[in-house]
Amino acid sequence: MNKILEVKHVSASYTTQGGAFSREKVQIVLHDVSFDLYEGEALGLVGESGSGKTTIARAILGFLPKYEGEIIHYSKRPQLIFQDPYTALNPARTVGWILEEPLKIYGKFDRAERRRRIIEMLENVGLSEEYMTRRPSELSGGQRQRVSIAAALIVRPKLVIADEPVSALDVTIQAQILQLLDDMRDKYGLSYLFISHDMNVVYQLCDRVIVMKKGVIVEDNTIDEIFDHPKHPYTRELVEASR
Amino acid sequence: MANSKQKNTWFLKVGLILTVFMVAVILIGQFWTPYDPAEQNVAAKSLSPSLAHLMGTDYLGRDIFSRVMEGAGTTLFIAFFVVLLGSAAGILVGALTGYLGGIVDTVLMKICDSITAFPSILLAIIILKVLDRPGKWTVIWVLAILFIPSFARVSRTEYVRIKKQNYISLARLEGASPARIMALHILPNAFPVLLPAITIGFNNAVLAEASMSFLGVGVSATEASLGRMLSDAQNYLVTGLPWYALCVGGTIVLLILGFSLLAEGLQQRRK
Amino acid sequence: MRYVLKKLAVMLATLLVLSFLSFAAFEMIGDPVTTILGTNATPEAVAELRAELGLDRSLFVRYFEWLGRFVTGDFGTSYIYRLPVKGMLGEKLVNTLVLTLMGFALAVVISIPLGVVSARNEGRWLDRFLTVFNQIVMAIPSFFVAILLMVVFGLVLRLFTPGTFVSYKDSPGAFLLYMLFPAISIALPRVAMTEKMLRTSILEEMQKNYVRTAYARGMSRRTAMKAHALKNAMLPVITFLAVGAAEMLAGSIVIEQIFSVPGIGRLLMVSIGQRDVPVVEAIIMILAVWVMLVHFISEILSEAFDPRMRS
Repeated sequence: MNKILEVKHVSASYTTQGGAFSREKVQIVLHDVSFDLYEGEALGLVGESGSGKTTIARAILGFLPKYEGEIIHYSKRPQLIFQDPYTALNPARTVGWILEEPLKIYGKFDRAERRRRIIEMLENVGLSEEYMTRRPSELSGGQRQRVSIAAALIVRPKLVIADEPVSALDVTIQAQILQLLDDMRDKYGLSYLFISHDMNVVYQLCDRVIVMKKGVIVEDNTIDEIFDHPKHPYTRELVEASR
Repeated sequence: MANSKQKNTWFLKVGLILTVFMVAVILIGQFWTPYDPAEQNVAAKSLSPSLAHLMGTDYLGRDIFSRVMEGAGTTLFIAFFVVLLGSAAGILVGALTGYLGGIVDTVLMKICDSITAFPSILLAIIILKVLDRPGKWTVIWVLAILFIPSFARVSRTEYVRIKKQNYISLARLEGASPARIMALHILPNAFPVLLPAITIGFNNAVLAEASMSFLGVGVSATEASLGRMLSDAQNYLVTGLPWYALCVGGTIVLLILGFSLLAEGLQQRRK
Repeated sequence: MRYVLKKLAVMLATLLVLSFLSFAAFEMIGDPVTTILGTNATPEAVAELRAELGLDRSLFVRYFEWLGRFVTGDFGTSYIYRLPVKGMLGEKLVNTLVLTLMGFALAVVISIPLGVVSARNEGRWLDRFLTVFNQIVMAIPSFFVAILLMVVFGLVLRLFTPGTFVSYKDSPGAFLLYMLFPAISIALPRVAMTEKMLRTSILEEMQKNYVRTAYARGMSRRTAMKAHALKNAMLPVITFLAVGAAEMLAGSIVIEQIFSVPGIGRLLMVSIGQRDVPVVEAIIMILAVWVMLVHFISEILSEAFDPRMRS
């Protein structure tokens, strides 16, 4: 299998500003994090808040200004799906505009081709052409997350990073969105880096799981191994909690 | 709360009606006036308002209403360009400082702060008097530049707030250039806050032009504007021609009131 | 203390930059020689006058000479009238300052009680009346307020005669009485703005948790407002009043012309026209010091009102 992403010995820290009575402190958020992600693979990244899972995502996407180590991309245009579908869509724009913008930035497509692709992608995520003229404020949470997925996939990325994409949704909607993500993986041969705090959600989508705690990877194994034979006590804790 | 909601639309409605009415009359005045504004009529000197002369006539028998329709055009022309140039430059400065931050932000905002510390009307009076070149465009350039900081401040706050939103991170991920993000992604979201600021800009521009021309440092003697007419009218106040000053001043007040109600209404609607 | 010193340093630096900029501005637009001698003067006469006024030397030499004298309190001599600038300013400066301070006092004394009354009666007819009334008053420029006052009190009621200014040296009482109308003119638009500002500020403060808690504990709305909201609500108003004090000085320059008050406004306009640089410089410095002073005082007052800002 081909690698799509290689994360090699990445460490990151930030310095808290020293006030009048406190000296400045160095806070380590990532410590020597290494893993590979393969084509077509769905990799879960699990840990409590503060474990560094979002920081590693930011580093991969180039949003982290400073870190040590190396991150090698074997694909172009990695995309991101946010947890909160309410803040991920530009409230001043229509769904059509939001989906057309990435195509305009990248593509050499003409207007008709852009429109064709938007409609196709809307259908893929289970929305009709009519949604093009809607604004985000007119959509439900589930519909917004569908639009977010469409916006991420419209440039045909190979790697999609999803940061808690269903934790803000109702349980029934969660299942629908997870199913949609799974379908899209098959259809476009996507790789997912799926960030979550919820083992159950990870179980439904991922092939492999990385467990992080306090900026360190404590376990990296297949989903079945993680659930059946958790090695690290923290993994065991997470698995127990999900039952 | 239902109470205040009612009042909100009330400000907006009255402001809109008043502004549209004033602007319409002024625009008509650029093509048609009841009398020739320059025509002197010795037989009809210093008349009080009547149906024939809505605002009366001046000391030379000229119809004041016609002259106000024409002169307010100059005032509105100046206000329009002051706001257009000042807000365009101000929003741009605010976008650059707010979105990019860093040294650009520090330097530009320091300059803006030192300009705004001084009352802009005072600065305008001094600069215009020093330049000593009365005329529409001199007033427009000086006021437009002095208005930049106030627009820049509002715009900067909005850009700082909006650039932290997730959809802006996504736009950066899509590879949108900073210019594209500032213009296409952030600007439409900043608009609800910029609009009342622009409207209040009209209010301030009318006030500033009237003050400048009233003091004789604004438009030239050949360009009739409301401020210049009021300073002219003031000379005839004591000799018993109060209508001239009252009507010209009243027009200034209505123009400013329209814009200020509109701005207030827009601001309240946002909340 | 360090904070105050830093502020003072910034103020001095600003004054230096400002004074040099205004010096340089006149360098570019010309000197007073043509104003004095007229356009037909012979080159010899022009050169002689230049030398006499010291204008034949470079900008920097003149600027630093002026600066050296200015810091010792010597404002120089007028090019046109050949009189000490200090003497020319004297009484005029007093007139302008009295006008500005009277206007400021009126604005404070009227707007603050009105703002409190309006906020206390939120939504009732008095508040609504004041809100609408405010919006209208704000739209009346101070120079038109001046004209309205002249028409009503001068022409209709005949309570005062425009143009009969009395010097404070002759009759302080009559002087203050005459100054009342110009002071109202510059104060009125500010009264409306400050009242509105205070009302909004109080109502915002009343919405905050700590005031609501006080309510819940059985405190009346009136006591809650007095005990908690008013003090915090004053913070933005103080800053606003400082801006107001600066704007009022600008306003008094316009207003003193309408009421024929001999103040520094008219002197400034005439002196700029005549390119009388020493007079202009002195007035600009006075205006700048005033503007910076009111901002400085407002910052110190804000700190006194808000312990969070102290650090």
